[in-house]
Amino acid sequence: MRLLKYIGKRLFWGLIVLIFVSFFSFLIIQLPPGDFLTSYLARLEKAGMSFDDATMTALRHSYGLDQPFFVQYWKWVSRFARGDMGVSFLYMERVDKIIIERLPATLLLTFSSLFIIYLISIPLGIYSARHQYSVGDFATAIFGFIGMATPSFLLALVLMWLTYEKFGVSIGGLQSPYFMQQSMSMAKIWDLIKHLPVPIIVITVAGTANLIRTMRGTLLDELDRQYVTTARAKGLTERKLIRKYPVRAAMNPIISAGGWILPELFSGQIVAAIVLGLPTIGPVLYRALLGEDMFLAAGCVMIISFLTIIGFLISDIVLALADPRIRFN
Amino acid sequence: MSNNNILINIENLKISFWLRQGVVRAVDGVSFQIKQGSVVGLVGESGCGKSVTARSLLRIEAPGKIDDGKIILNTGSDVIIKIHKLTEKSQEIRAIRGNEISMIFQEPMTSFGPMHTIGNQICEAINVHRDISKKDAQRKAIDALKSVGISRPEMVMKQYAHQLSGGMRQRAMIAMALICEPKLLIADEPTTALDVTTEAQILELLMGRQQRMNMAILYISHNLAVISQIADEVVVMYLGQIVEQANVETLFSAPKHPYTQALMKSIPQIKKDSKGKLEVIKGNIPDPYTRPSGCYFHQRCPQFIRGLCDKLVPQMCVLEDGARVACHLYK
Amino acid sequence: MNQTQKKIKSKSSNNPEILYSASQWRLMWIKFKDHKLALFGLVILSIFYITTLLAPFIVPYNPWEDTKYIYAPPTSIHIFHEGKLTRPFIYAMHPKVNPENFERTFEIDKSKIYPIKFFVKGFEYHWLGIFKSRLHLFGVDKEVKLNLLGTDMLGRDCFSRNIWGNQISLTVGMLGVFITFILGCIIGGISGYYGGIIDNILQRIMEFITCIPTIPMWMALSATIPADWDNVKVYFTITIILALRSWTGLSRQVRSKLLQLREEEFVVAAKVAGTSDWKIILTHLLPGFMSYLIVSLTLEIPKMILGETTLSFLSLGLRAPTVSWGVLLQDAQNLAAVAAYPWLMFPALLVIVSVLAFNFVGDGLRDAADPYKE
Repeated sequence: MRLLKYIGKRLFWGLIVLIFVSFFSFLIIQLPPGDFLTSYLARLEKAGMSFDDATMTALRHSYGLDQPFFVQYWKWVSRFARGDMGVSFLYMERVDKIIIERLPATLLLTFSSLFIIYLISIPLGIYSARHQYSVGDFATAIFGFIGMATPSFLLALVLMWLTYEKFGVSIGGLQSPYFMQQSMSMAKIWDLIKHLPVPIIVITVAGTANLIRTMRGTLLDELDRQYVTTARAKGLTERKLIRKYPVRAAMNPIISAGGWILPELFSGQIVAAIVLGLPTIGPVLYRALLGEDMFLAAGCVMIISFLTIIGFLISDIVLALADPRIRFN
Repeated sequence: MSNNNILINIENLKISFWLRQGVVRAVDGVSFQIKQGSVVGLVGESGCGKSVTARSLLRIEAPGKIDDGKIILNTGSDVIIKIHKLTEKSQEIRAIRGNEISMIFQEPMTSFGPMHTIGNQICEAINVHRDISKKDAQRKAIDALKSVGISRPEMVMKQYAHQLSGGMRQRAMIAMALICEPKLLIADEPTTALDVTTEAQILELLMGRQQRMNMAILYISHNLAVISQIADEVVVMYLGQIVEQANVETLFSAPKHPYTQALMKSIPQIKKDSKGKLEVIKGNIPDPYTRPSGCYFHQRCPQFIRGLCDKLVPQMCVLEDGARVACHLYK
Repeated sequence: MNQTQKKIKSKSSNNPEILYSASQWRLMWIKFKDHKLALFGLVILSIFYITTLLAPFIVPYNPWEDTKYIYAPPTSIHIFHEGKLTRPFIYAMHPKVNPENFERTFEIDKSKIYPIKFFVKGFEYHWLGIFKSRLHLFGVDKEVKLNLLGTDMLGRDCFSRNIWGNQISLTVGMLGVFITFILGCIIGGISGYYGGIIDNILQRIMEFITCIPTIPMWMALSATIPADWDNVKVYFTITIILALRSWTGLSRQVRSKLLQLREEEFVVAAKVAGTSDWKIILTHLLPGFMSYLIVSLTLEIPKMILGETTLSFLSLGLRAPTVSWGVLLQDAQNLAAVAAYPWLMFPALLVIVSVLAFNFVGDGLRDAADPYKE
């Protein structure tokens, strides 16, 4: 029961944050100088659509441009909540359609990256803590430092160049052009898998480096604690007691530190996606910003923020489930 | 007969710590015995090596290393175990831990793992050494909790450490340590972190169990008052060495070593005419990296003999009343 | 201030140094010295920042000067001429275009040698905006070009451009961190000191900001910078945008430390003596955790360097003709060009090394901030 109340509270705050973010997103639309509708319509005109005065006035009114700021905002938000995110003139499409098309790839990439990060970091972190100052520990540390210092776009460029040089394969995008038209088949899936390693490496490097360090540091702290000695004095094997006590206790800071990972992934994959040409929401946001396609831009910011907030929520819930100290407090 | 009586025999034990700054000989030639069913008090200031000595009995002295000496366990069924020869992670020492020899620690706050229930951890203590069913283990655990005076053991079994008070936690610790009925219980300052009332209760509990189970206790403390109440034998340590050893009456009525005498004097007493300052031992504990020559205590000793105490290391000798002292004043 | 008489064990000396009346900073320095990586990082950073300060002097060529030496490889420096050891020199290189495949090559003319001279006269610059000078650290005769790192597609000297970029890329972080510091201290200070409703509201606001994903936020805000703003304005705006994210972290730290400290007795004593709240915060509480703040700030700088580099690379940050590492790396987007002219990637090395150096120093500071910890 307590848990449900906790979740409810977090959901409520998530909603508030989302409203705050919507305000911020709308602000972005308004920031460029000039009436956004005028420049917007001017672009649509350039793209081939034409409007007569009556339509322009009607549009103006429906977007509330003759109204004060907050009315405009309200109109945009209420439309957005109903699923009408406006139209993109860059793609000549409804914004929600553009975003939904790219949602699966975004989620696939993010969650598989999350999985990989945990899969690699936890064993490596434990190893580093238990064998402090060994060769493996140093190697991991060096990898970590370089991983954190290299900007993701750089890593993407280097890896692209390497695979190009070594394998003669150009690995932009998640699927070779040939397979994009084809229907699902084993070959198509294999092609997809071939394209996954480089994006995943680029996206996971920074997170992995960070998490390994955190795991190592936290575990080192826990290994010094009294209850570890108590467990040893009971006659447990070293391996069993390390896993059962300090690792388990270190998992909580890891999970809460991991709480950062999922949201950061949604944000961090954007640059890699841009450089590698992945079919996710990131490159769309980028193009929208460069091309001043404001509805698309605002829509992307909202969706990415929404995903980020969900990410935080998931990690909060997982942490509450994992730590009895939070549950029974 | 007397040989069979001896449970633990420690001979010339030497333990060092290898730190970045240098090597510290934390235990410097310690020898004493623990008889079956007796209570031995191990006394000394912080850093004198009493805790390390005790831990070495279970081979959890890490990061220290045993350089020299013997630790011999006589389990009574004519089995002699040379503890000092066992490796730290070996199955043999694990069979002893929690089974023949158990240990309880000073910090009740952090002695239980935070992520598992008390019940889980106590049952684990049984399951490591006894092959019994889960239900039987649970029942034994509940009985153990009851026997340490916890009134609602079924509830405590399901609780986590942070939900219990310090006193309850220490009782649960004792239950867990005694559940396999060890021959020796090592108690490393178990009541230092508790208030006086709880301390009295815990001591009473320990003494009761000791008598009923005929269990030996190695009780480590810097609190002489507690030692005087519960111990049969007392070992006084200073800077890694034993300076005096005697049975409790002899030690408290006629302390021999100047250090022991000073310790006795520094206990605050409530007297009719409570005037005057608290007696302190002059000086400080020497730097562990640069130990004094000769007798380690000579710089602070009120009966220091120049030319002798700072040059020659005093040897342990046995006196008429059975006390053993390492001091040049006695031959 | 904090004075102490504790013994501090230093790894690098055998005798424990006993310090009487040593200040907090001295203790930190002793612990810091033990951290070899951190010392190394400090050396690297010093080199970087000295280079930045003296950039116009060190750089031989004007970073914006187009020449006909397009995509020239780094000039080789020789010390043997006709078998004899001489002072370092270079040969003249003439650009030639192969008429059959239009391949661009450079022909080396070994007839004449051009020694590298020091303290030469080069292009004019205003150092720190005040001193006019034409003095440069090194250079060669005007007929030849000494391109230590080759040239780019407009024939501009890469070495000059890279070093010139130091000035922007390394200072954006410092300025941003300064803003972060001010904002973080003020807001965190108020939040932690007064507590209650003010604290609650401020906490919520900070939570909101944290929930906005970093990169989209930076990208979106940067995109709204009007194209016609001059470089200085853009520079400062980017700095502020970068700082908008990091002040929340610092603020939270300040707040939690204050919450701890304000219950301490010396604060109550100061209050009873009639000291104003501001004075209490500034003079009594802040010095207590200055060291932790400095650690956080040091670790924020590399994030800002990465942020500016990424934004500029994406054309959302600083733009040409401003020279920063991120702007320079835009040239590296063309994979074929990079394959053929790998020196274009050099700014990447500068980014990685500077970020690493900052991280090392920050780590060392963090270990040193608790001088009594073994």
